[in-house]
Amino acid sequence: MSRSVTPYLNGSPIALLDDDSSVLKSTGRLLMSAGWTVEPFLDPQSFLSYVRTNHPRLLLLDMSMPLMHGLEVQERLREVSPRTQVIVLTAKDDPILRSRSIKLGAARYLIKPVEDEELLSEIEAVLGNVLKAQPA
Amino acid sequence: MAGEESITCRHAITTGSWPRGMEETREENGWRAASTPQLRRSREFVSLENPGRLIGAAILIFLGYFFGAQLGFALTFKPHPVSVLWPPNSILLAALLLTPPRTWWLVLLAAFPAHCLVELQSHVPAGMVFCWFISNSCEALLSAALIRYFTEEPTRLNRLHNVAVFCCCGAFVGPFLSSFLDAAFVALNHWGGDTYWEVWRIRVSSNALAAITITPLILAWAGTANAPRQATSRVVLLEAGVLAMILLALGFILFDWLTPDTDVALLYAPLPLLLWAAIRFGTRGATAAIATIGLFAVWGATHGHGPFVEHPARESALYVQIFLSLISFPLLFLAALTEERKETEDVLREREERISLAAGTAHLALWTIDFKRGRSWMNGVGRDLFGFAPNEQLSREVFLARVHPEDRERVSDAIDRARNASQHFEIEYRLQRESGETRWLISRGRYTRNSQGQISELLGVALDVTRQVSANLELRQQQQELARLSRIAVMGELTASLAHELNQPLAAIASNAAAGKRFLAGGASIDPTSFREILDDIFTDARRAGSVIHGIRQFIRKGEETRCSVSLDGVIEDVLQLLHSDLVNRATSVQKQISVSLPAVQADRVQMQQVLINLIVNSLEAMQEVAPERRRIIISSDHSNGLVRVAVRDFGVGLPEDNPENVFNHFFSTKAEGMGMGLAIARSIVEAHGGELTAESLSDGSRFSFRLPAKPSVGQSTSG
Repeated sequence: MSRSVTPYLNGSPIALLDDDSSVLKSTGRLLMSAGWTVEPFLDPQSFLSYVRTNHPRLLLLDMSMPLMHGLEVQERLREVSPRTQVIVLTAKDDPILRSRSIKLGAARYLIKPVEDEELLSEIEAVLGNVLKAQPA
Repeated sequence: MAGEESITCRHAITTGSWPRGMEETREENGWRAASTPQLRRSREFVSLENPGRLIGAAILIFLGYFFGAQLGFALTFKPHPVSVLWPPNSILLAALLLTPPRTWWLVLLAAFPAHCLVELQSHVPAGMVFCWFISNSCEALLSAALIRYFTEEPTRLNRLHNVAVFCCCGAFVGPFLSSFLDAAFVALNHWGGDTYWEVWRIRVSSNALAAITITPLILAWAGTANAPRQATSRVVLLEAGVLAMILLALGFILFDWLTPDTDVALLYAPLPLLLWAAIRFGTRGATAAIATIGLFAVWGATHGHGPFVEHPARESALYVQIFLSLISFPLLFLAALTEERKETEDVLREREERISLAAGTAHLALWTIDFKRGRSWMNGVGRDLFGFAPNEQLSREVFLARVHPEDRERVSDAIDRARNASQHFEIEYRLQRESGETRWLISRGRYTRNSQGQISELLGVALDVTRQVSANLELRQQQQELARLSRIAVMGELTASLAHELNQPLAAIASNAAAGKRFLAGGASIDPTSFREILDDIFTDARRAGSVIHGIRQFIRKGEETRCSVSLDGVIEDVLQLLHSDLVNRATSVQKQISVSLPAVQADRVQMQQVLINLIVNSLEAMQEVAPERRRIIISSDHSNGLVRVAVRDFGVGLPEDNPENVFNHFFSTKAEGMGMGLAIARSIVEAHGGELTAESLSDGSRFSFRLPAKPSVGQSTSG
């Protein structure tokens, strides 16, 4: 089942960043089942290298990663690709962390586990807002 | 004066073997004997501290000397004034030996008037009387001084040594030397018609005989007058009475009734009775028997009866003296030997009773097996414990039959090793009682060998330690439960991380399942390979989630520890996996420096995980206030000298400066919410595995290391 926003994102995949390969793989598979194109990353450095030359519209970001914290990824992403939307997908239900993440521009702060429909809806909602904000 | 004895124990120990002049209190096996000076004073005849006793002793000495002299006069060959036995000097010697030297002047003072009275009655000139008193006193003083010098105090003739000294000094040296003086006095005073050497010989022989018959009699009976009374059975009294009657009858028949032409062989007739007296009644019996036979022999000889009257008076006197001396010397030695042996037996019996009493109080089983004599002994506690009948003969076989079947071979081997190597054995084992009850014992024993190197005896002791073993078991169970509760507490602290570890695979499963469902529902073509991949991933994640749950369950399970071959490398991997989320959340990196081919250890895997988790959690907490970029843990492992070492190094606040070891104390914690049990429990676990856990403070953190004995590899001998 394709989403209405899919045509816009053709050629501009959704980036996934999570240090857990199982989670990364299964989430990517879920998005692909909904018609999205995904670009998965296991470590933040690879992702930051990628965004130097590519500008994904959306990043699904894990917070707790051994090599670099999610907040730091957000900071650096804002410098190199400020228009990329961020949905935080984390197990840490921490209000301070949530607040800091929102301040750094996160569109959503979702606590794992997230129902697949809810995740897809949130992605659509975020990207829908992006489309609405796009100049005609 | 028995009441003055300060006996401070239940039994006075009268071995008589303490050194001369010893003033301090003697202790033997924890039993205090009476103070020796007090005891000695109580046995002395004259004591300056008691005027009544002083006067009584003086009167006794006076009377003794006086009647002794009368007896001496009575025992002369009438009408010739040849004395066979001269008792006054021997009575004086006995009095000196029974009194302390500081009162000897009083003894002489009491004897002097008796001497004067006796001699003046015999119309002896005053000068001669005085000279004889001087020579008599010299003899007694010389003998007493020598005897006192060479024997213990008080002088008792119940030891071979004392008898030898007495015979040498009292019966020989004293009369021998003093008789030179005496003979000189006689010559100077022109008294009698005998030559110097005749006087000397007669005096030596009569005084020597008196010394060996009269003095021992007085010492034996007066010397023990103040000793603690021992109950004498009626049978013994009857035996003594029968002996006395037979002796009196025989003495009368032999030395008064028989004619001089009687066969000389009959002189041996008293010998069995004398031996009977010495062996059965010791010194007192022997001296009394000698005195009785002596009196009969001398009386008979001096009054014309018995076998000694055929010869001239001086020869007869000499024969009587030789006869009596020959029976007196060996009999005194025999009596002393008998008393020594009896005393040794008493001491041994008393010691055995004390040991049995102590062993019984301490619930110790004692036993001996005498292989040479084929005899065995075990105290009552031991027989009750092992279930042996009171007279049941012990042997290695009957002993092993009581040992628990599972321990029997081990005990037998330990005994064999001790026997072959002539060493002690000590072994803990179970005793299987007839009632089916099992008791835990610790036995220690040794084989003794005789002078030829042959095994002669097995001595052993066993202690029932069932209560201690039960207490140790209970303590171990409590420690295990405490450790388990500690693990649960650690799990509580790690709940968030563990939930994350579980959530990750569950979330992946959910996403994969949803994706698969979407692929199918959307009609999109999906190739079987991709679909199989989805299912494989679901399966893998499900196993991962199961593994996390299994790990948690194992970690907090309740049950006996199970030790097996454990790779500490594997334990490190397990623990890092379990703590992964916590490490990430705390922004702490972990660096592993693992030794290649680390030997395994014999341990309980869960307890090893607990030790490592406690150390890592401790390190994480030590770095809470440290900047995230400096939060680092180095986990290293290596092995040397048969030990495997695992170290956890952090870059935190370090250890307490005043006493770093405090971190291992129970309830030591720097956290407000901490119980302070983690490191203490970790140390107790490591020590229970035969290892050690140490902490060292570094300039920029701390390092905790634990070492455990490496398990010998397959090719390595395990016997050793």
